[in-house]
Amino acid sequence: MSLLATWISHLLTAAIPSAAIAGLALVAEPVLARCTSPRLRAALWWAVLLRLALPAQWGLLSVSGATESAAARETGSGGTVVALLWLLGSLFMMALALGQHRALLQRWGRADPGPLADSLRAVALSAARTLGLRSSPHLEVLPGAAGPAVLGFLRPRVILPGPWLQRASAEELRHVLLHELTHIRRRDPWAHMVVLVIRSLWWFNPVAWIATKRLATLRELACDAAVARVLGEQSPAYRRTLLALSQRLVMAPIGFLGRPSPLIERLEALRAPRDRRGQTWLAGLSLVGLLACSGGGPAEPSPGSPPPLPFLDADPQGCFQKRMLVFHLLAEEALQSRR
Amino acid sequence: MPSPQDMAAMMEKAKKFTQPGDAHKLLEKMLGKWDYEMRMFMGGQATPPEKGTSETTWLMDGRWIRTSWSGTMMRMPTQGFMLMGYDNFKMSYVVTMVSSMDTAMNHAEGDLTQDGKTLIVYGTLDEYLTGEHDKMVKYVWRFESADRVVFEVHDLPIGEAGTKVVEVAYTRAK
Repeated sequence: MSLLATWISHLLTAAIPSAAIAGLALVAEPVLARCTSPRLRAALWWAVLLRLALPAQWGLLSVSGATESAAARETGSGGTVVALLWLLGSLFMMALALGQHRALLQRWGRADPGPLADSLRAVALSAARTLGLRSSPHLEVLPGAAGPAVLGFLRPRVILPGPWLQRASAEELRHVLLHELTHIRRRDPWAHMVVLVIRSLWWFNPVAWIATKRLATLRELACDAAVARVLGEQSPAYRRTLLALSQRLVMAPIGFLGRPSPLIERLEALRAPRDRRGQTWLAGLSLVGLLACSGGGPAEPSPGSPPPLPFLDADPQGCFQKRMLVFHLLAEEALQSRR
Repeated sequence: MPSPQDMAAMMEKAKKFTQPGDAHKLLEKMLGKWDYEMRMFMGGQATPPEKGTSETTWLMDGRWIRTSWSGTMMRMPTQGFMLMGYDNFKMSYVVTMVSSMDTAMNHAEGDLTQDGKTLIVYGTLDEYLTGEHDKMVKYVWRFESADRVVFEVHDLPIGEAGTKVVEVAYTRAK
């Protein structure tokens, strides 16, 4: 089977188990929200993306190699059209993401070329040290920024809106910087890049979009939780900062890379203390379950099922290769009749 | 009635051609119990390996060896037998094989390479799928070490290259 046919068959057959996994995650997450951290819940959605990316015959909720091969065979002459459509779609999604990013930067304007205020540098450095970062990442004050954000993958920088900065209190500034620097400490720019690539490749699959959105939300919640842990008894003040931010800015506090973040969910998460009882075992159980469904390794072929042939659509040459194909199909037929 | 000289010459020939010789020593390399992994090839790609076991013993000491193997092909149980010896008059190794995959008895003959490390035999088989008869097949045994032998089947009508269709790697069982 050609590499392209294998890839297309994987795209098609991965949709079913990934949808099942996503369904499980959607049901499990609200239940787990009361007693688990956003980080653990994010792991559920990473398991969904893993299910998309891994070969279809891996894991418990798997598609047999024979089914994948059959899917590739049935793709047939339409396979080229499907492959072309998929490729165009993926390229379009990647171009769109890039275009949106550039448009955002244009809208937000250029940073003031002058040096940053010493007070701002001091607060940033203090926040960085609190979080264990060796130095404060680059800060930029942009006149048109809709809210605080982190931009960039290789050298991430913290964006602060100019108008907001002029009115923000020292406490609010510290809270915002703690949140944004937590994104950098967690390497969220890289995680977001991986998610965007997966979503671009599986642009046709709603599961990829749902997982992307949930991961974005959970990313914000995880940073909020980290800031709340750092602030300890002063964490209610952080909640007030988020509220104030939403009132002053044009839209809800900007989440990661300029996306609006779900404010209500964030405020609720900060308000309601989690019941930690059973947190570890429940989350662990869910995660193990989903990861097992996603792929802890290649599933053993069921006894009696013929091994997947990598070349079912190849042109058999000679007697032995013809016999191989025939024996394979006979073995499949025998297995079907046994079932 | 042959003359005494003719009789003497015939007796010498009988001694030469009927008794096992140096060529039969190769057969000893195949004696024993083996574990094997079998792969099939098409278009340069191989199937996942399937495992089995085989055992080679003397059918007649010093003359004929008998190999029986059992394993799976396409996860279906299979078994087979092979007889091998050296025909002093043909000056060739002779092989006969049967298996549970079909009802044919396949023959092949050939010889060792000059370095003595590879046995190559040629035979024919009838292809029931297409109705063709006497398709040429090459069987190769490569004696990589005392505990490892690799057996290959080559479907010669494929052409100049890419003729290997089956490879079985035997490792002496511990």
